[in-house]
Amino acid sequence: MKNTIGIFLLILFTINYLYAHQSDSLVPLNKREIKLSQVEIVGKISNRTAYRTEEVKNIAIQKSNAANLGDFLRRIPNLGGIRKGAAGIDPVLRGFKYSQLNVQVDGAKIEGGCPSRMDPATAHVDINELSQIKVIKGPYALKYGVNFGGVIELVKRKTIFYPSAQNHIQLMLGSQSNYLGAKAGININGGNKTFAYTLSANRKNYDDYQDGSGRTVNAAYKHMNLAGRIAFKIKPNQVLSADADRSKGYDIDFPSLPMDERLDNTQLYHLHYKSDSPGNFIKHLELMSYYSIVEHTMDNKNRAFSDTVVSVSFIRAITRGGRGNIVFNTHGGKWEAGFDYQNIIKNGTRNKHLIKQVDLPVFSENLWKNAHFNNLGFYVVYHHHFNTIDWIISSRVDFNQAHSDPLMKKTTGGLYSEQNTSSQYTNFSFSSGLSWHINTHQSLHLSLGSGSRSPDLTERYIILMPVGLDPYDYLGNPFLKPENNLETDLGYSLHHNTWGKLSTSLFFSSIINFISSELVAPAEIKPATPGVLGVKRFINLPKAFLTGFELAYYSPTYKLWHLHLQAAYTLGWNPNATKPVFENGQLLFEEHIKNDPLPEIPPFEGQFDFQYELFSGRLIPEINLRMVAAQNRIATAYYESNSPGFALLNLKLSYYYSKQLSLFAGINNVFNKAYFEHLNRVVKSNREPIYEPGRLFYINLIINL
Amino acid sequence: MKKLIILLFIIYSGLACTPVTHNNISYLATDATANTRLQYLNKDGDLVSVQFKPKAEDDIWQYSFIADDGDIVFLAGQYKDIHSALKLMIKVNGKIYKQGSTIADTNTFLVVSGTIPYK
Repeated sequence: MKNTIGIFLLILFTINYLYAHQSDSLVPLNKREIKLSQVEIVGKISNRTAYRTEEVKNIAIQKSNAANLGDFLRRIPNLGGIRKGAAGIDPVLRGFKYSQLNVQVDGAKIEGGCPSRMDPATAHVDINELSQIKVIKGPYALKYGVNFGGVIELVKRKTIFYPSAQNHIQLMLGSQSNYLGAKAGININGGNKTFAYTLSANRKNYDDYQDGSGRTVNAAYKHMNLAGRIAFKIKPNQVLSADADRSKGYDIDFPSLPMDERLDNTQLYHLHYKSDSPGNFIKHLELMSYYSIVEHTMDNKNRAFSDTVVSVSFIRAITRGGRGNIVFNTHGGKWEAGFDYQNIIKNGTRNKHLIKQVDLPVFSENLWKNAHFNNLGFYVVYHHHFNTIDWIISSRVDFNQAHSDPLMKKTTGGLYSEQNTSSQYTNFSFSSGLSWHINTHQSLHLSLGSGSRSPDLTERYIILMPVGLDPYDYLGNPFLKPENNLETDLGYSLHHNTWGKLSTSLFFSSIINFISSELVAPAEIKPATPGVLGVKRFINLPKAFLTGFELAYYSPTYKLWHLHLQAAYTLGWNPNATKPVFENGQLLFEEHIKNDPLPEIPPFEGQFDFQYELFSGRLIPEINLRMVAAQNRIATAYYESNSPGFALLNLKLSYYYSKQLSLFAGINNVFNKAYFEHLNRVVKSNREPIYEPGRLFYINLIINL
Repeated sequence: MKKLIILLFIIYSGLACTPVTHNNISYLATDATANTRLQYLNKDGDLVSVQFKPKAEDDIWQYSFIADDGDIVFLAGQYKDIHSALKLMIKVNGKIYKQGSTIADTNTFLVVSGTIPYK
């Protein structure tokens, strides 16, 4: 974006300069605000910061058939997703997942309700509402809150202050075959010099799909979203905005879990104040508060077992928080300082209706029992620019506290009880990055960071639920120590007008007090879920390691053809893993494995994109080849299965008929390949992985009025 | 412009409204010749007990209501007369969804139940 604006300004300046030298007369220029609606930066590589950052603009989302955010995120290098069902694909970035990632929406955190993570934070945001997705890899960007493995920042539609009163409408209609369904959205935005608004409504409805071999995969879901924001320019340099977002997802199939999501009811509210140059010393001031509530209902009513026992779970997760930051310049550099606060409260119960018994008995048990999580953090960031070096250094401290009502659950072996649940930690994080601009084209980047995070509510307080990859009931551990990720990145980038853009980064991460799990002796506690092998408790392992790379190349932008190549790979290992060995459901022994791969790491992946601009860029055919290697580095301690490699050919056509009308169409999986991603969980009924959709045709229509 | 906005909202609201799936549920108890205790889940989700007192062999006890997809339906019955019998049936939109019967079985509480399937 900066490059585009830079080129635009350069052209303007050159034209103005030439014009001014042709004639000595002065030409008065009127100020005119131009709204750029069609700007696409699929993967921006910044050479001003040492941190590896990927940015995706809204137009790339509009061009795709992705209906949910997790599905879309899987297209970003080294970002995979754990698929358990139709929606709620859980992101995995460089091997980090769940609470190791900081996912936020306009700076706000959303905590999902489901213990099995049917609804990670990414499931509570409508993809059509996003104007930008920003992924910052590594534990370096500390101003976003606790950052352990990376930040996924989801930026929603912005309000625009127009020079005169204006209203604009954007309509989006999309439909596709195979994964038969449709999406529709409307956005109205407008305002004047002092007032701005945006109002959106989105709806999606998808049926089951056929995989490449023609088998039906239960993956139906419905989703609705209403979002609005108003902003007031209370002074020329001060903006106050408020927004509300309400989403409902219902009847969402999760074939790999014992239940389906029946209803997701999410509300998110923001209040935001921003001031530029509020004083001589302070250059920028920002304050924000947010409140989100997620009501999650799931049941087993579509499962065979519901003929005997109908289980219905209801969980309410409330997240409150705020943040504030100031920017000021002193000591030859730019400083940012601020704080953030997050409070999560979770309550949930599961009711079991024994519908084959007279009097219809109902048994109730707690999934979350008034679990609280508080985190207060303070950070400071310093940027300094030398002649050829950009330097950034930051640090943060977090005060974390959590408690829950006593954990209790009835098992086949008796009552499990844990009375002492309170724990508190103080965590320190720091990071530093150097970008050395060797010349105008080349830069070298070096980053070092140490990110600490306290255990999340699941790791602390889950009571005998099968929340992991393997078939065990998991038991929370209130006394886990915080995890610490010490990571370093080395990157190189080349920006050349003739050659294009090339960037590469290598990373190595050493995780101390890695949160994993160990088998609890069957004599100590029995599982509560039918069919699981036993009980595992969350524990800290001394160490685990992750390493890998990303490579991306973009051809020069001035050409009519555009080539984009990318490749990424991560590998992780646990130096001392323990594998429980069972026979006929009885634990025989525990096998110690050296350097066992970490579970749920995506395999090597490469992508090739080629597009050509026809008719002055109004018609752009595009070909995409995605090649994914087999994953044979599997966690034997978790009985993880390997996965075969695959190659997919996708075709896309973009047609910009006018400023008002754009049409995007495509064919995904042209050769109708039957395939599954390594991170897809297995279907409960047949123990096979969830296969991805076979060949499908899609079309999206965007109307701007 | 205002009219256009209103029109688009009306169109969209129409599209966005999800039809609520209502199902006609009928509980039926037949074949009883003696007093039979019935238990059923009513339209409000409450468990109700009634006494079915058949006057003739072909007497039918019936209760109908409207329910949504996924609602639990439950009908149970027991008789104490060894010469009696009982057939319980749950119909969803006129089609038999669950049924069961006993003859001369005074010990068993016959239960037919399930959840209304999602379409």
